[in-house]
Amino acid sequence: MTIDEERCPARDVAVEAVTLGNETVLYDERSGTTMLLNPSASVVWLLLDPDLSVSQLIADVSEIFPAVETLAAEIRQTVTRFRSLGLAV
Amino acid sequence: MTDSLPGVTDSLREGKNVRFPNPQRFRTGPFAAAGVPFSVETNREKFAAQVEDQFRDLKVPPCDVAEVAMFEVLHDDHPSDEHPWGVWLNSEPRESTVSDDYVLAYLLWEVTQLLFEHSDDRLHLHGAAVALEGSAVVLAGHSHAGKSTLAGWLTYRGWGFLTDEVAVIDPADLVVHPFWRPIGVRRPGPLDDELHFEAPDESELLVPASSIGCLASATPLKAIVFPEYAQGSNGSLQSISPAAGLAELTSHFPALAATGREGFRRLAAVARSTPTYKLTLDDLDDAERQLRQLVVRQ
Repeated sequence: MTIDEERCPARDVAVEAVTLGNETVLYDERSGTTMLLNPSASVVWLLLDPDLSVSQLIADVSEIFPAVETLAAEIRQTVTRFRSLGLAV
Repeated sequence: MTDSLPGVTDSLREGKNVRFPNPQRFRTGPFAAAGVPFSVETNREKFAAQVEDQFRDLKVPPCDVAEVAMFEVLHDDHPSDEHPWGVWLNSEPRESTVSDDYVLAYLLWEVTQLLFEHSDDRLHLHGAAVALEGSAVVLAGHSHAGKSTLAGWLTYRGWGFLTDEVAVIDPADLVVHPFWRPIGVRRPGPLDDELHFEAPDESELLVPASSIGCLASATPLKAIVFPEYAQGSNGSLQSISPAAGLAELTSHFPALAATGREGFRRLAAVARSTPTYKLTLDDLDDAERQLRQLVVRQ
């Protein structure tokens, strides 16, 4: 199964998110770490939904940022990063 | 003025009497660190006078004080001991081997920790704060980032001094409350070069802010600035996004781990309504001009 066919992870409840403008700051209460998300990563975070596949997420985010050529790769990378850091499961 | 309290030797805990045989005690204070009251008791009259002088800006009237944290700073009276001082807080030992030339700086560090550890609804940011024309600017930075030097310089140049180490912000009304610690002036350094302090050649000197400028009372917060020294820089002040400001602020908020997401939310409330900037500086007067323009144009 490719990553596009996988289900999106769900945002972990231990993570607090604050969106200011078009950027988001994540705070992981367990580790005490924070992460600054750029505008596209912020939208990925907001749209994370385990009922969606990653390819559906890419399609949704592409509607918001239609001009970004590398968007699909960035979204895959962002989802993988959220998973590996335990921010989304 | 110090009060001699020869009768308080009873407060020596069992077992300490041998190490600290001098029975006479001298109490100074009460003081307050941004509203957190404390007093200092010592068995050396000269040290009591030194505390009274260096902490003069923290002094509060006795009637304003309810529960007081008590620091005991005791000399063991052993002439050959290179680390003769011990420090207790509310009868709990904090440090037992402090040298003569470090004891005052160590006591100030303990007082600062007292404020950091004090829990109330206010945010305690690791940063200096100064005020001009009714607007406060917080200079958030890590230790050795030059906060004290910049805060001291700005005070000397006519800004009101709020603090050089812990900026106390009430997130409800965004007011910065004063913590008038003596400024830690590093030597050699620009402030020392300018003011030529008459003091032994120590690497750091504690200077009451009121001796070089004015103290500011609680002042509405207008901006948070992250100063960064860069040799040869012309001094640039760059606006950063509220989210980037919040992310940066989390690293200057020591209570984040203890307060968790509630603390994070309070920090976010400040970042949401306060513009944040990065200040790259080399020359302190350039930095002063940049910050003055920032306050004036807002």
